[in-house]
Amino acid sequence: MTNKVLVIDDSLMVRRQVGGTLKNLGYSVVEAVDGLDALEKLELNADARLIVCDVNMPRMNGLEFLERLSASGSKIPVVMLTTEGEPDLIQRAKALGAKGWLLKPFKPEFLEATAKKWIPATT
Amino acid sequence: MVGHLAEAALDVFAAYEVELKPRATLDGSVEERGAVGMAVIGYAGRGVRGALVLMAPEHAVQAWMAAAGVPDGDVADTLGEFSNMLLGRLKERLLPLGISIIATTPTAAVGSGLRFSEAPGPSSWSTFDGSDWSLRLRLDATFDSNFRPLAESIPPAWRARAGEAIDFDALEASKI
Repeated sequence: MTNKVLVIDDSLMVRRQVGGTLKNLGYSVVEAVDGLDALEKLELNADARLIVCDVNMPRMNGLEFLERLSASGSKIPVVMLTTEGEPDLIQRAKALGAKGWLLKPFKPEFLEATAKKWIPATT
Repeated sequence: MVGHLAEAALDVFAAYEVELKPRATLDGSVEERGAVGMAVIGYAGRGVRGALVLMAPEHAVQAWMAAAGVPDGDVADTLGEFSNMLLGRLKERLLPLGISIIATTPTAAVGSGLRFSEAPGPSSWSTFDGSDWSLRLRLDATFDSNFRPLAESIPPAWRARAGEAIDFDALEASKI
């Protein structure tokens, strides 16, 4: 089993922040810049055990990505990390199979708790 | 809305432990030492639309990147993300007032001699001072004549505030 996390965000700053936090905790990180890029990265990284996904992105946003992922039958847990606190969006994400919702600027302890919940073997 | 924007700005920078003080005067200027960056993020809701503009000198954004733990980040990208977070925090404050907006993705530019074309209307710049830099914020908003705040009640479990987390298994904010 890997401890690989796919981080999807169009912001380099966020990818570095999230990726850095996860790497410091011992996780392996793959980055994608939007939903379309993430679908391509998943073809090569189907062993990812967690996906951390932004909502508001160009080309394919986070909810569209969730739809595509769900349609593909993927069982990889997805947690949204976004500035959006809109209840409609949160409910849509849950309906599409997301496991949680983190609000930016994120607190590293929440990201750590999320990662440990879905990849419990990693210490 | 300007008051909410000021609160949003203080919150976002406080999250990165960057001290920010609103300048007393309504308007002000960004001290130019080298390049200046500008990010614009649009939004729209039922009966309202507009844009948030964030402007700051490059050395200010570099200070924000260092505070965020990404000292080798990209200035334009960081400006865009901060504008995104500012609008996110503003949205959070507008929602209880019945104003629900959807944001675009941000656009940012960095350079010397950038000029901003100001839309006519009541909007104005707000200036904030950091340690050795200043930033300017502007919120343009156009309300349709038939604009009315939403009246729908939002279940508390579905509300989320910046920095919080919602575990859908438990549906309790801040408890993972």
